[in-house]
Amino acid sequence: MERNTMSVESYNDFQALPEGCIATALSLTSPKDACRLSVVTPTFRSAAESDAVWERFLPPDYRDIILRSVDGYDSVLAKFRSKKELYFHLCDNPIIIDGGNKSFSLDKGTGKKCFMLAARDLLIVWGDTPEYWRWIPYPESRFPEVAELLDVCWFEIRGKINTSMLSSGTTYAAYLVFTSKSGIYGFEYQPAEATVGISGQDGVKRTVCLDPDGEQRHRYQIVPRRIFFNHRLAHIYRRRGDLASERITEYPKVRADKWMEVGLGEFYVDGEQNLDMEISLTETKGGNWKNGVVIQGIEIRPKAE
Amino acid sequence: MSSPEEKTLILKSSDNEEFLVKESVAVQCITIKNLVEDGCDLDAIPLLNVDSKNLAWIIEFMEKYADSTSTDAEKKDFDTEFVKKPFNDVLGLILAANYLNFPALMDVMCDACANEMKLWSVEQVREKFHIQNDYTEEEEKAVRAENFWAFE
Repeated sequence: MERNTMSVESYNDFQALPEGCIATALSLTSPKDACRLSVVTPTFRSAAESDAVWERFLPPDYRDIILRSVDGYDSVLAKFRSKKELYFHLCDNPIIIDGGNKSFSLDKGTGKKCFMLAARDLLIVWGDTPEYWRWIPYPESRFPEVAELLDVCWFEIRGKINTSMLSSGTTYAAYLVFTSKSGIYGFEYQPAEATVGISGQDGVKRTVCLDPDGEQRHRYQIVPRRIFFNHRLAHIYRRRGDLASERITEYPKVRADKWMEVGLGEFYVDGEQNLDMEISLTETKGGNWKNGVVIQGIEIRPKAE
Repeated sequence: MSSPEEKTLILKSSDNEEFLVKESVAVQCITIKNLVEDGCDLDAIPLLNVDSKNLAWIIEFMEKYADSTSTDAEKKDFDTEFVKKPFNDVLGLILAANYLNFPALMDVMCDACANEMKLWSVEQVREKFHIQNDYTEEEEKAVRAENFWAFE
């Protein structure tokens, strides 16, 4: 009889659990826990590396998604000797799907699905008018093209995703992923409005700043208030500052991939219904001309805890 | 309509206690199912790796799961109560479920085990599983470094 299956009167004999059982238990934890617990013993590590575990951590429809890859199913899967390798590759290397319109990746700690909708996949009002928007390749972009804002008054961008694509039981957050070549103008005192909601219904709005220096600028404006306390200019500074800084709830942040992102809103996916979620970003009230934003897309990923 | 007589099996634990179980219930354990299908004609089926304490629990679980009148919600409630056992017993049931090849029990017990492991440090897991750390110092350091992100 194998050592693994020797008689055990009670667990007080301290019979070690076979590796297969450890793997089953680990597959019910999380990617993060499985990796953490590989430090317990070499047997735990071996169990934690097994395909049985990582097959469970990969999303159930991962094969279907990889089928949509522009590089082809076999080309993606052929590179990986194990499901664990595939998992970590998908975390750090988004794959381009749907003819270059979207990218797909995984959230490392949980294995939940993340997507970025390329600028080409979005509805950009006036996007087809060459005087207003230009479509160009961009070296640091994962997609073939980015949308460069030359000049608009009416700034309106809309994206849509069906919740059936996303991981159930998850709160997702949407971000505009953008940069600029030589500065972003027209948003300094005019914040934009982001809305996230079910298509056809009123969404949740928030006021968003696209100006990368916005946070600094609004903080700095407090100082002129004091310096010019008795000066007529104080009134103007305070008004401009108040209008913008006091309403804004989101400022751009720099991402690990060096692009900027700004949070547009959140929504919960319960997995029971298939809903079209609409995400929009507009600035159409100020009437001023805006330029300089280079848009890679809208990223939808699980909200960080 | 008369129903065919339900065959009853005698399952004998490692400590020689005998339990009567309907065949239709007992075959949820693939090990037992295989024995029956292979035409095992022993009076009692000896389960050398399962003591009476565990076998009693396993039969309780098998009967709940074989009961066609219990709903999924009822099974879930049953599971929640069933796994409230000292961790040594959870491990004992996993071993038994493995030996008997009883997938439903394995899943429920491994899930309970997973819920505990998520909350424990590496050192606590070693303690609760009664296992020695057989990594060398260098090996452990290397594995920790490889998985540094999981400790953040």
